[in-house]
Amino acid sequence: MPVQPWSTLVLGIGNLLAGDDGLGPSAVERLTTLANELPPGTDVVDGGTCGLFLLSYLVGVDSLIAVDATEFGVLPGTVRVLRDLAPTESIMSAPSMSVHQAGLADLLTAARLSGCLPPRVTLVGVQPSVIADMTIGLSDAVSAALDVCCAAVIREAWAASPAERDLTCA
Amino acid sequence: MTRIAIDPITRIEGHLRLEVEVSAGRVKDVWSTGAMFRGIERIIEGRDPREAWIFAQRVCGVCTHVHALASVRAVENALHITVPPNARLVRNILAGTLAVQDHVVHFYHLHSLDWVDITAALSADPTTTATLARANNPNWANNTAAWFAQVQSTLQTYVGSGQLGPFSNGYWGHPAYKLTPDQNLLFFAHYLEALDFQRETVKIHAILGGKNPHPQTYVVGGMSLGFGPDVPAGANPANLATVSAIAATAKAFTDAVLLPDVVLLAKVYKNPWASLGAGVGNFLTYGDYPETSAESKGQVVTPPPGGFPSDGDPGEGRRGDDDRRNRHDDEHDDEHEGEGDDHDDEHEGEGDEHDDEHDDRGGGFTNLFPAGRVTRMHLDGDVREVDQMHVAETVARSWYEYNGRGGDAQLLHPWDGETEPVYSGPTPPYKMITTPKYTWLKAPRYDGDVYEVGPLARLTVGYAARRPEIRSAVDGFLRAAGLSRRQWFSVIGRIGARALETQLIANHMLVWAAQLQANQAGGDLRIADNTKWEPATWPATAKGFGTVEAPRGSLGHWVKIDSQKVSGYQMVVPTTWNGSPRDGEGKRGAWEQALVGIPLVDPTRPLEVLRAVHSFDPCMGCSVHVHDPGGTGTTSVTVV
Repeated sequence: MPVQPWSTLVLGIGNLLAGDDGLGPSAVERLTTLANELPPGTDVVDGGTCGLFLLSYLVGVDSLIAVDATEFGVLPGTVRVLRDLAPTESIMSAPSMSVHQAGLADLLTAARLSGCLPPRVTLVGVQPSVIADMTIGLSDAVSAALDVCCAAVIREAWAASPAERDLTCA
Repeated sequence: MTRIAIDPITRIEGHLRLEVEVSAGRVKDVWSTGAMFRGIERIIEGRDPREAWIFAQRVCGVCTHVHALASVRAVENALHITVPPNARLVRNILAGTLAVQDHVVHFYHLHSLDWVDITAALSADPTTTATLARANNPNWANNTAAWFAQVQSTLQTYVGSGQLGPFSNGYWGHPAYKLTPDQNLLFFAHYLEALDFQRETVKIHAILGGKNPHPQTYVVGGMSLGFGPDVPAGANPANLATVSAIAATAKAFTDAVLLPDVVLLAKVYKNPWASLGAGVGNFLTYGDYPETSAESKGQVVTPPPGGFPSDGDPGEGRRGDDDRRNRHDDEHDDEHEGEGDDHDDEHEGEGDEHDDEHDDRGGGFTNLFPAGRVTRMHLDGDVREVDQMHVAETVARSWYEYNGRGGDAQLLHPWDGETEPVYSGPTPPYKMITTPKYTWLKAPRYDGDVYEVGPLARLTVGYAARRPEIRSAVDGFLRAAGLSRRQWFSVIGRIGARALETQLIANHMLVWAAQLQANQAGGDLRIADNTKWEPATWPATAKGFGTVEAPRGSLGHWVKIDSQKVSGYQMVVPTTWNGSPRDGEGKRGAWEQALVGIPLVDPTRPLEVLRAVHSFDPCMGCSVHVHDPGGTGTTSVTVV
């Protein structure tokens, strides 16, 4: 197997037109301006709600970090990190997973079936407050959590990467 | 699968809900409930029309490109902008890529499990499956016993664990499944290969649409894309060669796997599924994949008073004045008997030619799929024109109110459309919706009539318009599957049309890519017309419409511009046509009609209903609620 550089994919999932469902894409927008704080070889992609059609983005990825509005049953704006997600039945049946559960779970299952599942899968989830169609903009609680969310993504990206983080540049 | 309790009505990609009344083992009546696109108009109104597409494409996660395209076409139509040939070709390739991959995903990953019992595949014999594969898919390399054993092993890891994961929603073991174990394994193997297929095909979007899954390269006036021999990204010669190569791979999969598989499915299931689910029998298409560059008319032509002039004629879609073309009605009637084996040969080499016979009237559109309407299942009937001014929506049975004098039952053209949601359904949680209004979908009508849109409509109209490559494709399919022409109008016909259309588009993608390469080599590097980019060049008010033949059917965006801002915006989307509710006259929508009469072996496991409704490729997850007045009561079944 050829030696390839470490590849990280930060994948924001959600719909910008559905209130806090736009957390993923909003985090991607923010992270794009923080690109130099992410490890080398990191791609940041706004996956929207494209589900299965995101499969090609997973090919060759070593570490996938999904960012999504996630129903944890806690206070809106709470950020939680789930590491080493197994893209198996457990993710399908967990009672409190991403509100895009079908999309993310289907994507990971399809990736597993077609042999392109990233070895490491992390979910950075933020508890939504308002999911409403045709509403642009995050709620105050989730908006206020964006910084924490992005910091978590950056931390997780480094934690999974073999590269050393040079904190003097951060 | 566990569902998180989000009211379906508040989700954009919400749920399709069907309430089905069963009597004597058959569907007696149907009510289709959907949640879609409520309020997109409000998002876009007040914005710069040049940015409307950026918001419009977010309406749907899968169909991003078609909404972007319909939106820029609507604004171009309003401002009388003609896009350069290269932009037309890039748009065709992007839309074609979406259609091809979307159709493949729909068939294998969403629809095939209505027909394929994957648990039965575990008892298949990989050796005899390989023999089957060599007969059914002779031009596909993965046909060894070792390969099928490996596929079976992959499947076993899911089923053997007792947790089916993505397959946990199937009605496995249902008596309506008819495939042999080997056939089931063959289909599941191609299910896996279709994943790889779509993974590769979508790379065309990355090259021509920008890196992210949401296209970034559309612009009012053309495309915002590097186009030239020396551009570092976008459409340079190396990338165009890659596009061609991917398109060739897509064509190979379509020819060798998809079409033969659909023919096999049709042969096994034609009794009774080629005689069920015909539905309304009226078909409409706006036409799409323009092969010539004429002034953007949003793909649909509004005739001036007194009819079309002799030039600028759309050509296709009008045959009522041309009796010469009505004389061939019966010439194919004897061709459909028997089980011809030469199906694949019918389509070889047709991608390089396009019939201009009926379209060379000077400056008119030539579309791969011609515009028009066919009514009453007349495969050789008149093709009537489509004039977007005759499209109108009623909310007689939908959760909206019209403020105008005519009330909710009136038919409003999209330029006069109103989107005022007023929910009057039952208070959740509920079992059945028995209120007069029962859906968030409006009811689109053409001249007040119900129409089906989508692949079956496109190919039916193309057939009636006597397009040689479409006739050849349809006749070849009917012959290979042993179907009569009447059986084209059925659940099986709908599936066949989708596969045939995939093949036609894949063929043409190679042509469009070659044309782009030729233009570039010849020095034509125009990719956008920016002469009307500045709002100062616009009229004070304008209105336009843009249409796209999206994978699921006819999509229209209507825009009004006032003082350089969007003052009105309406979409009429394919699933609104096909999944529409009753109208003011009580006429059922397209799949409400198609489902009536469908037999149900077991109302608690309504597999047959899913087969029929999935043949339309509804764009929402689907939950079916079966009501059996004479039986044990109500069953709610959730299916994704």
